[in-house]
Amino acid sequence: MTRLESATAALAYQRQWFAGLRDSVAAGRPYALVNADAPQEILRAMGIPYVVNQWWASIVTAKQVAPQSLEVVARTGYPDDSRQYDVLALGSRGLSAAEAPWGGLPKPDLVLAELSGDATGKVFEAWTDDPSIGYFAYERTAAIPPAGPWWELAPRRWNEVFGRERIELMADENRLLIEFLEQRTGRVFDLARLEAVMALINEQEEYNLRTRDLIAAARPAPVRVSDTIPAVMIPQWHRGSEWGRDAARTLRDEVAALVDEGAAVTVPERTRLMWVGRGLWSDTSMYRRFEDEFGAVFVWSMYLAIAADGYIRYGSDAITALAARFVGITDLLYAPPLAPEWYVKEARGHGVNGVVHLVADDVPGASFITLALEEAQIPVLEIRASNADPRTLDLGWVEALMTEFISGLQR
Amino acid sequence: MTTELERAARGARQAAAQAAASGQSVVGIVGRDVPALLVVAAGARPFRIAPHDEPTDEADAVMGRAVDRAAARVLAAALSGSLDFLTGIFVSRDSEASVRLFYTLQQLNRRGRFTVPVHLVDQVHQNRESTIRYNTYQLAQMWEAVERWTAVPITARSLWQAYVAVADVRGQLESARTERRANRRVGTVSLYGYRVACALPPAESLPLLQTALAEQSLAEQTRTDATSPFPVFLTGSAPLGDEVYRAVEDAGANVVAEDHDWGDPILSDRLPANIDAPKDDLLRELALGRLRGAPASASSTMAARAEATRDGIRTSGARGLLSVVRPYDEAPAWDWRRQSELAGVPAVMLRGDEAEDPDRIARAVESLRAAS
Repeated sequence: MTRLESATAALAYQRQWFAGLRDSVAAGRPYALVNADAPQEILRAMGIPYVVNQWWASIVTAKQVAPQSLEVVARTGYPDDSRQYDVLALGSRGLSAAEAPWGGLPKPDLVLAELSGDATGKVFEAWTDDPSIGYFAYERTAAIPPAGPWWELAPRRWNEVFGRERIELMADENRLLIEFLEQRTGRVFDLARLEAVMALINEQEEYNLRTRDLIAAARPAPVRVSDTIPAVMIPQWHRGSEWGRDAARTLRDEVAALVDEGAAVTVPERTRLMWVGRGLWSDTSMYRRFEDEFGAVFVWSMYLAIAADGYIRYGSDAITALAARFVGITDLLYAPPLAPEWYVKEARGHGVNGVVHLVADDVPGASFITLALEEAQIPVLEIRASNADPRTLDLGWVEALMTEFISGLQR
Repeated sequence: MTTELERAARGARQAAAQAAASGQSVVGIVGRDVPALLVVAAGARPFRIAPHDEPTDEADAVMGRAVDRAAARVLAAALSGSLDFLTGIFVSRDSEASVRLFYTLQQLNRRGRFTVPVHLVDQVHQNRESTIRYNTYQLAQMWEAVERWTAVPITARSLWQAYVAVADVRGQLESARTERRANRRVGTVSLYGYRVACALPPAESLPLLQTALAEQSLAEQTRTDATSPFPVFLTGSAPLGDEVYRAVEDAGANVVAEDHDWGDPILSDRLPANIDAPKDDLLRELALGRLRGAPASASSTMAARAEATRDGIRTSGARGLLSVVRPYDEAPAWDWRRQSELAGVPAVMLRGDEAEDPDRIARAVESLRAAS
């Protein structure tokens, strides 16, 4: 089957957008570099363009200049074996013009991150070695056990999932960020604009929810994960824009049409798989081989599913609703008991036969995710590897493990 | 020669278990950010858990290997049953490893694999009013938890008594720190002093600290400047035991100051100035006490760490900066560039699996001495 038009369109849009950003920066206008786990909506509302750190890391990785970028980090005097995914953007600033992907990442005026782990804050502080770059950090607080299924409670009853005090802290920090941005850029925050951004995001994620549900119910799988990832994630980086909302609607429409047509990634579909953790999707040939040889198809990755379940927040106080969106977004993916319960629910909803679980160094509760899936009678293959540092990743080893796992599922 | 202080530090868990067996509530503490004052005020014996136990396959399987060994060792102790005597455990949010340890223990609680109640004191670390409010709330939660665990209410009187007892211990530790900064007290003895102060109740730790200080002073009367060891400031990972300190001393040097959470930074966390203040004000003071204490690597900026290291070197008279960084303890390696730039003395960092190897430490000390 051919690539989703939504994916192709999103990739084309992102190239065009990034070229526009470079032009804008060259003309002297500010932009921000933001870690994915920190709120971006205030920047959107204030008209400050931003690049998401993880998106740029994915470009650096796909263009195979991650090792060179990490060498730059090491030459600067910082470790190149810590937070590699977070630090690729910083390192990529030192690439030569010939090496730099997409013309290179321009120097940001400010960087924004949440203090997750022990070193993410330091990665972003390192940008301030250039004193013209401003830095704002959000605190990272710890998850609490939710009062029930978080995917049902979070859109409206978020205090019961994340805790009121955590949300109040982040809401206060949202206000501090607004002050910081107003002082640095001279722009004025408009609450009505943020409310419009939040409404657009809810619309966008409602489309993603329907897309996720369509794929979960479809037999056989109508689309590849490697296709839905760009079709979901690029619009996610543009959350709060009309383009982002419209792209999510287009994806929903395209998937619905494929389901109606009875489209299939592979025929016959013998094994349905779920990929838990960050993706190893830069080289899709391995997955095609699994489809061709085993009739095995990955029907789930976190990117569409978390967009569907993790982002929608309905509330009249946009500052607090925004805090309620981000205060625990990482917990939903990694921290027990929130993450394990959700993966089990998603695995069941998609009717998967097995799960491949990529465990990165910085994931707090990986074993409990695996355990919960196995207790739900879902076989799990754990792969312990970093998706950010090609120097430590042996794709041949990964493929061999997965081949053995899939073969085992089909015996 | 094994001193009383060392024996007490090594035997602290056994002493705590015996106290528990005799009916006393013993509350475990992981990390520097849990104020023992509240535990003492609730009538319990505070016991900060040192990372003595070797990690086990089960601990590695449950929490993953990619986590600082200190947390893996505490988990191994929990899984082995050797912490079952505790009434409860407070875990600091002082590092990613501690948070992982908390999540792990919490899940083991849910599954009945580990039955001691666990509570995260989720104090975060930016110096902002919003953070102070959040941390104050966290301490209020801790207050409730320790009262629940011990069934003993914290009162104005019990707080005052706890304050006096904890302040007396701090006074001894401050005297010892003064001696050490003058290179008149060896690092291992100070390390044991801090461990005893954190792992024994004030009534037991105070006489031990007093005796150790007196013995050390007598011993130093015979020392001349010519035999003074080379003074080193230690940064990097918090040591698991005393091995790094011993290796430094065996190389003819002395750790005269450090910035890890089993050392001098303990004294930088101030007690509330007004212990009689209303509860909310008192907890706010307690939160501020930690927030304005010495910056820890995992929870502070590189800039703050570099300034603190520079100041610590100046105050202690250290002539070399040694960083020993274990695998999966990410933050110290990030701090190193600015620390070494600002140190003003020769600096060496050891990283990785062999960082704590005595021969490597000896060579590092030698290079510091040569460059000094």
